[in-house]
This record gives sequence, C-alpha cells and structure tokens, in this order.
Amino acid sequence: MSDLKQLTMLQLVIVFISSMIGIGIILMPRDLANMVDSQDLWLSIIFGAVAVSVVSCIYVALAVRYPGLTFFEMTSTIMGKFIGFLFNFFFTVYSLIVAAYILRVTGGIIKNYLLDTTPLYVVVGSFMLVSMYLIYNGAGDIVRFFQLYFPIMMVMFIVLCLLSIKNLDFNNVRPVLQNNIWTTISGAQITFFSFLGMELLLIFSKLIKKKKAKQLLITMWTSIGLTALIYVVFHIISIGVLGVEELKEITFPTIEMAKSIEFQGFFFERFELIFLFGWLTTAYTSFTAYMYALTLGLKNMFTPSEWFLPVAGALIVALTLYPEGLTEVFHYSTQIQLISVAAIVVLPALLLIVSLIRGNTYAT
Amino acid sequence: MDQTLNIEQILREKKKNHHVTIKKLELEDHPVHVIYIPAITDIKQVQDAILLPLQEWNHKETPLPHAFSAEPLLQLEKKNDVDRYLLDGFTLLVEQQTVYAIDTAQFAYRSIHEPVSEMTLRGSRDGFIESLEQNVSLLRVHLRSTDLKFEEFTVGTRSFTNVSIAYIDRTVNEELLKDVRARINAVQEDYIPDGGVMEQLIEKNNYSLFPEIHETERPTKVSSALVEGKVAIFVEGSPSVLLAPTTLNSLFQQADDYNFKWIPASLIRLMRFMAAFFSVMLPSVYISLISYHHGLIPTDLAISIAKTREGVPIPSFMEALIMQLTIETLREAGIRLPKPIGPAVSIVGAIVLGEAAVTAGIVSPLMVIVVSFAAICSFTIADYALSLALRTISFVMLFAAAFLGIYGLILAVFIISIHLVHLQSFSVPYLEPFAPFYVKRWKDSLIRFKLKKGGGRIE
Repeated sequence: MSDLKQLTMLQLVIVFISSMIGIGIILMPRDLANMVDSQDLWLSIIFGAVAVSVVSCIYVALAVRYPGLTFFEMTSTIMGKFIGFLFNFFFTVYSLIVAAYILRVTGGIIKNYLLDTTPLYVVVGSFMLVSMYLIYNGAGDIVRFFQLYFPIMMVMFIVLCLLSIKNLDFNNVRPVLQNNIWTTISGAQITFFSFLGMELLLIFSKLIKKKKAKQLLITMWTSIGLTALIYVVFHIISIGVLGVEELKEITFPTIEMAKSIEFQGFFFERFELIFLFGWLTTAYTSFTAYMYALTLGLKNMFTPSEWFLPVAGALIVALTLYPEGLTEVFHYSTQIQLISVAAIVVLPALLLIVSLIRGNTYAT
Repeated sequence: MDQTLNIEQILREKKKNHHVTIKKLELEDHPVHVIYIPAITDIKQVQDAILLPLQEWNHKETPLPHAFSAEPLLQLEKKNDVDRYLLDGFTLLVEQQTVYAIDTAQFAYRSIHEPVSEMTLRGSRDGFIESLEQNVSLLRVHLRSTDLKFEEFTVGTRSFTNVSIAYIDRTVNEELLKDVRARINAVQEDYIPDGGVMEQLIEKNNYSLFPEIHETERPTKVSSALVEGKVAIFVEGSPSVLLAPTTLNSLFQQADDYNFKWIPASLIRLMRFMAAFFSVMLPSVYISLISYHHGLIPTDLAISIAKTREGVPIPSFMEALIMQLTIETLREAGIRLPKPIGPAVSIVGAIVLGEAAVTAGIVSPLMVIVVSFAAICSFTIADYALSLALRTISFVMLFAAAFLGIYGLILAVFIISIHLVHLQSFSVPYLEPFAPFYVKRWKDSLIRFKLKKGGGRIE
C-alpha cells in the first residue's frame, strides 16, 4: 500500500543526492590532499563528476531499454540464468561491501566524536536496526524518508557553510591552477568514488515505469551536478579554513572544520553537533540505499523468505566488526575501489553491450 | 427472529416496562393505543398534537394517517422498528393491527457552550453538544451549502447509536467516502459511548501513537475541513466530531491562525512547531549533553551547570525521569480535580515539589527549568491526542538519550520519522505536504501564507 508506483524526477534527484553524499564528504578531503597536494584539488571533483556523468549514460541506456526491471532482473534477461546469477552475486557482494564500509566509517566517527566508550557493536547494531526498520517498510517509504530529510540536510550544510565563512582564509585557496593539470585530473580517481550511488538507478529503476532517455539523463546529470557543487563548496571551505597541509594530516577534516566554528555567547559554542546531525542523515540515507540494494539482491538470488532482511543485517554487521580499527578499514579502500569499478562500470557496460548485440528489450 | 408485528405481544411487553406509558382511547368501540416514553417525550406535544386531534377524530370518515395535519405519520412494518422508534422518542399509535409513529422526541441536552478543550481568542464561540440533530444544525449555521450531504448509520448492537457522516458532494474523494462507509459498517461493538471510542474502532494503525483521526468540538473547524474535501463523522451523544483523513500538519492548525493577519499568525504557528519540538526533545537533549557530551556545552555554562548539580545524589537521567513523571502526575491531577481544588494542585506542584525539592538538593534547579519549560511547551499543542503522543515520545527520548546520548536521540528521531512516513490516515500520507512533497500545499503548512482575495479557497 505504501509503495510508490512511479518516481517523479524530483524524487529521483533526491534519491541520488541522498545516496551519493555519504562518507565521501568526510573522507575525501584528506585522500585528495594526499593525492593532488595543491589547493586546486577541488577541480578534481569536477573531473570526477564528468567521468561519472559519462558512466551514468550506461545506466540510463539500460533503464530505458528495460523499464520496470531492477539490475537483478535485467541480468538474467540479458545474459541468461547462469551468468546472470554470477552478475547478481557480484553486485550483491559489492552492495554488501559498500554498505559495510559506510557503516564501519560511520561507527568509527560516532565513536570518535560522540560516544568514545560505547562498544562498536552497539553503535553499529543500533544504526543497522533503524535502517532495517525503514527497509522493512518498502521502497516507497525509503523514498519518502529521503524526501523528508533532504531539506533538513541541505539547510544544515548551508548553515555550516555560512558559519564557516568567518574562518575562511582565501590565501589558502589561491593561487588557482598553479598545479600540474595532469595531477589534478588524476585526482578524479578518488573523486569518482565519492559519486558512488549513481548505480542505484539500476535498483530504483523498478519504480521507473516509463521515462524517456533524455529525462533520465537530465535527472542524473542534475543530481551529479548538485552533488559536485556541494562537494566543491565544501572542499573550498575546507582548504580555506584548514589549508592543504593540515588536510593531509587530519583524519576527518570536514568535522574539524565544523569544530573550528565558534560563536561566543550562544548556547552551543561549537557547531559540530549540527554538522554531525546533518552528516549522520546523509550517512544513513546512503547506507540504507545500499542495504536496500543488498536485500533486493538476496531476495532475487535465493528463494524469497522473510529472513533475508535479518540475514543481510547480520552479514553487514559481521563484516563491519571484522577490521580492528579505522586504519585497517582504510587499508581496504583500494580493493573496495577495484570491486566498485568492476561492479558499477564493467558489469553494466557488459550488460549494455550484450543487450545491444542480442537486440532484446523488455518489450520483445 | 420473527419480524412480523404482533400487537398483543407488543402491548404485553410494554406494559411490563414501567417507563413506558400506554394510553388506551376508546373511540366508539374503535380502540387506539398511544404508547410513549415520558422521559424522552415532549408531553405537551403529545397532548396538543396527538391526544386532542384523536378525540375529535371520526374513524369512519377519515383514516388515521389523515387525522394529523402537522406531523407526518410513519407506518411501521417490523418489530425491531417499534422498539427503535419508541426509544428514539417517537409516540406510537396502535390502531387495530397497524402501528404508526410520530416524532415527539425531547431528549435532555445541555445548551451550546464554548468548547472547553479548544479555546480561541477570536472567532465563533459555539461548540458541539451531545445531540446529533443540534450538531447538524450548528454545522448548517456555518455551511449553508446544498452540496452538504449527510448519511446515517446505526452502530452498536446494544446502544443503537446514531452515527452520521457529513461531506460536500463533488469535493470529497469517492474512494475516501467508500472507505469511511466500509469502516463504520464493519464496527461490531455493543456500545459506543463516545467519539473517541468510535475513532479507535475505525482507525487502522492501532499500534501507532499518533491520532489517525482529528477530533474537534468546533463547528468552524468541521466546516473548513469539509470544504477541503474531508469527511466528518458525528456520533450521537458525543460533542466531539471526527474528521478524516488527518495529517500531522492539520493537527497543528488552529482557528486563530486564520482569524489574524498572516505574518503574526504564521510566526505563532512556527513557534507552535518549535514548542512541540522542544517539548519532546529538550529534557533528553539536556541529559545527553550533561551526561555524555560535556564538551559541547560552552565552558562557562558547563561550570555553572556543574555547580547546580553539586550534591544531587541521583544521575541526571533518573532526575529527569522523576521530574517528568511528577509533571505528568500533576497534569493528570489537574484535569480530574473539581474546579475549586484545581489551583491547590498548582500551588503544591510549584512550591512544594519544585522549590522544596531544589532546596533539599534532590534535583538541580536547571533540571526543574528544563523540564517545566518542556511542559509549558507541550501546553501549546492544542490537540490533546497529539499532545499525548508527543509526551509519550518524550519519555522514549529520555531512554534513548540515556543509552546512546545525542546519537541515540538522532536514531530515535529517525525511527519516529520512519513511522510517520509510513503512517497513513485513510490512504493519505500522514506527513502529507512534506513527504511526499506537495509544494503547492506548503503555503499552509509551517507558515500560513496570506489568504487569496480573488476567489481562492482557504486550504
């Protein structure tokens, strides 16, 4: 009853932005600063966005060719049962890993800034349960929840940006384009992954009945553009407030930036609370999106039972508790990026190529 | 059950009941029985409109139905009808094997007063009473539309409570109307004492804290809801009228919002939303700040808080819980007490419990401030069902804050939002203009935008 039949463009944009902005906004500045090592690093985000926009054409092509089907249903239609199952398995594992990664980093940040003595499994488990509750209610409710929190999230970010302006030192940002342009472009390797979430078009395509390719492309590019804009603004402010050298050293630069805001005479002297609330919302939405993809994958691969949700939750929590500390988690990031590329670029590209060769669409 | 009329049996049965009066008129060997219940009948009307014409009646010239010019005469066919009409205050005329009924009802009702639970500064002061007929007439005062339609139902296998639904034709959604009819027809209860019981019997989400149906005693609220396309459910014997569907947004709206100019009215409405937020969150945010995140409080404030907490023997969570429970108890006592004793409760509450507890060092003064401010905030929520829901949630929040601090609070807020996002009242999303987005309806949500002058309708 609560499931939406059809997503509007605005809802799609909100779903994409909510799933794209997640832990990237916290971790990216440091990685970028280490890789690009100049104040131009925000340019890399734009290059990353362009790369993602190109990749998103694959998803749009697939979504238009197979309206009303999720990735997991497309695979068997295009590739046949067995290879389809392998594809699904790989994509499910990918969702599992990304969800666990988001949850682990979130748990780490919560432990670092809010609850330093609470055991990790309590932090992670409670987050998981809340997410499971939302997924239990169905895709329609997920979309509505994203909608409800989207304005709140945006207001939080805008407030944080406005408050940071006082601390902004433009000498840190200037001069622009001093750096070797190739180093800046190579930064796109990192920024590309902060746009993870685009591939969920293939999951939410279940709710996209009939949309023209042009409409979908505009939707995708709008959401990528807005996300890139938010990232760029945040990075410029981060560089301006902290400087590139400091960005390299601090684990969570964006939170430190929020911490540096001080308003004397106000009840809250420090504003990281506002930021943490806004950011926790984004982490929650992007985690839930992947968790939803995971449950759909499990549902599709095995005979449907009501246990897939607890199973998915248990899998993620187990994977989350596996690494010792955040440093160990960051060690895995290269492998995770490899898996991501395989899952979100190679698999859909293969699907599209085979589908074009065989020429079968959903309609035939 | 045999539904055919058996006059002898009816007369025998009614004779046993001492509240039923049976008068036998021998009109030239043509006996007519007049049966009525004096307690719910207008005796003067029986005398003037029934007994007098009957005495002048000649049964050979005119049949009985033509003997009465003013009042319509209903011929009854079924045994059940006899009891129903008698209990509705009708007077029955038994002529040989036929039974007729005349409306002579006069039930005891109070007069129309301003509703006690919903106060306004400006605007109409009339409130619904227990009479269905009077309530309908009150509604007609505010809404003289030919499109205003009523449908009658009888609910309750013992009480035979009259329930009627009102809607405006062509404005109301047909699906909604079907849903309401089906739900009222599905009620299988012996006795419907009040609107609140009816509300719970027809709502779907029985485990939700939030009211699925808006209850009001104000005719203006009902008429404006009907104009919006909602359905009103009147229950005989209850001054509260149920409005379906309802949204969280509409529960926050007050008649005064529309009676004053839009800028101050919007500010007050915004303040009401803020107050609701504070009433739920303030005590829990406070205890999570002082027990988990001291670092987030400014240093000077942290020191003064620490000073006030000096010597308080119980943890802040228990302190907040005890204070919240005390305030809830005081509130309940204040409602139940007879009016003359009412102020005594506030004196005991404020002076003995508040002042003395602080002086004795059991609770910190800051906690008293926080909890009582939250309580005052909760008084701004006019809808009592909503305020009950939010007060319950504020206790949940206390536990969440005690377990996981601010993080727990954020998760609890998520849980409540997920529930609200899922909740539907008669297939209308509970958080309607916000999730899903209906930007056009935002102009009467957090703020109330100016009224349209060019024939627009208030939404």
